[in-house]
Amino acid sequence: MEFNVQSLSKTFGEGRHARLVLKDINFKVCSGEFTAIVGRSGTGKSTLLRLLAGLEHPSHGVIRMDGQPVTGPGPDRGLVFQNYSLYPWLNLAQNVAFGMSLQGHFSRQEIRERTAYFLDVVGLADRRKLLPRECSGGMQQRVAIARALAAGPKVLLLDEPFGALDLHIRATMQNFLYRLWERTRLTAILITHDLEEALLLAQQVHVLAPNPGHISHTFTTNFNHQDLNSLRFSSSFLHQRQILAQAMESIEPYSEDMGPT
Amino acid sequence: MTTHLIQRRFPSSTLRSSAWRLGLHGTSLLLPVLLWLVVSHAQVVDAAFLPSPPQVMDSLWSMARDGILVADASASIRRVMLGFLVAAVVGVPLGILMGSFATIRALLEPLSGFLRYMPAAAFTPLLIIYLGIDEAPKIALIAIGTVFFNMLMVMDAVKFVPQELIETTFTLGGSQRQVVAQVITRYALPSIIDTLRINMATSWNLLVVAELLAAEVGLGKRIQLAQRFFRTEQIFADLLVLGLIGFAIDLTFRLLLRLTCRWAV
Repeated sequence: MEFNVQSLSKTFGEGRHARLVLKDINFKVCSGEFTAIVGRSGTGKSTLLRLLAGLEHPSHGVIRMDGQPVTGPGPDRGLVFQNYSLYPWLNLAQNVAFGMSLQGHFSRQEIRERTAYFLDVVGLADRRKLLPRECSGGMQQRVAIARALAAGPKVLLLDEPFGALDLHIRATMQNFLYRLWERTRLTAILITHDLEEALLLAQQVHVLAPNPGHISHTFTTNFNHQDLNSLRFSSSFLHQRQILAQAMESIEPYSEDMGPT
Repeated sequence: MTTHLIQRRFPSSTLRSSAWRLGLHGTSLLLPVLLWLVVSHAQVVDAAFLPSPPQVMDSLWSMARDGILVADASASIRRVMLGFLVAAVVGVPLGILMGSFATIRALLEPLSGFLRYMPAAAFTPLLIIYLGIDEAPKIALIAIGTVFFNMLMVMDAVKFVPQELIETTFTLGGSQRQVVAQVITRYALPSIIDTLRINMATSWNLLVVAELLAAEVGLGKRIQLAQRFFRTEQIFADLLVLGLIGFAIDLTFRLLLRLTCRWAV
């Protein structure tokens, strides 16, 4: 599997109101790779992920999966939003199974087995009968990831998946996602504003600079992931984090009045 | 659902006890009856205008004994149910489609918004010309008066389905048809049931107008006849029956909501 983004641009609006949001984005993700795209708010990083998912259409350029251009959303690209987006009327197991039953080509037996497997992978096998509203944010997000994986995507797209979670749960979830990647070697593209999260999880980190959004730097990481909590405080990790922070600072000095987007 | 809202805005610790709540409910029903008893007993108002509760009960009993009450009620319920059913079968799917697809909405919203403001009762002469004087124009009147409210309220309910839930479904491999049938409709179901519950009252309101059209039986018809003979106790009795039927239907819808949408209540 190869995911290829070539000279991608996106403009919203037309004529005088046209606003260039993304300009000439190029990158490649190979099978089993974890890629992160970091940027502050307003850099168009969510738009980029929506383009990759096929929920928006590029103004210029092309996104290819295994050579085939992406024309719309599909089950080959799983998506996880910040706000979980579980089906509130389905219990956790039914949420995980839902995508498979939509697709129609999984047998009942397969759906049952895959649901059980992925609920187990995210550590919620014993909570399968709960409704989403009975679960914490971290649990809901693990279900959203299991649901996306169970549908059998070639690449998993994550849009600030832990942005709505408390700080300590966020670290737990980051560790969880890394171990999940180790176990399944899923291909993933993560959008985040959290530098530590990007460095911890991804082998390839692209920095998205604003006005209009473009990739200004690309870093490749190579850490020892044996102990994730120690890794966060290791000198090599902190050094890399500083370099990344400086790169972001150089393209866009932080100012207090930067409004939300 | 509205009571939940009130609880959230002005939470009351005592309301959590169900006995206290039941007491309040009882008071809201019993207090007016008590007042009625006192006023009619004191004979402040002429009994011909304000019959006493026993008089009304007598009238109710005699109508029940003669079989008039059952005949009236069943005729009225049948009309309302058929008209309401047509309005639901037509209005709910159209509302869902209008809420889901911008083109269908652009096509139907101005029309239904316009027709909604034409009083249904004003269609009566036309309906008689088109459909005669049997049951058809009565049912049609109730259906016409209810269907546009169904369409617009269901359309609004669909707007509250989170966009991300729809997009997630597409990325899980769902087709447009599946999104509409299995996600949008399912998510909006509690609001759809609530819409039907509210618009059931509209259907009942139209019943009396509908029964002006040459009906022989029906609760609304009975009230008109009672007026002609100045039988106020019969009017009161029939109004009570109308209220009770409406209340029972309302409770049924609430029960339906609880049973089908445990996740939303």
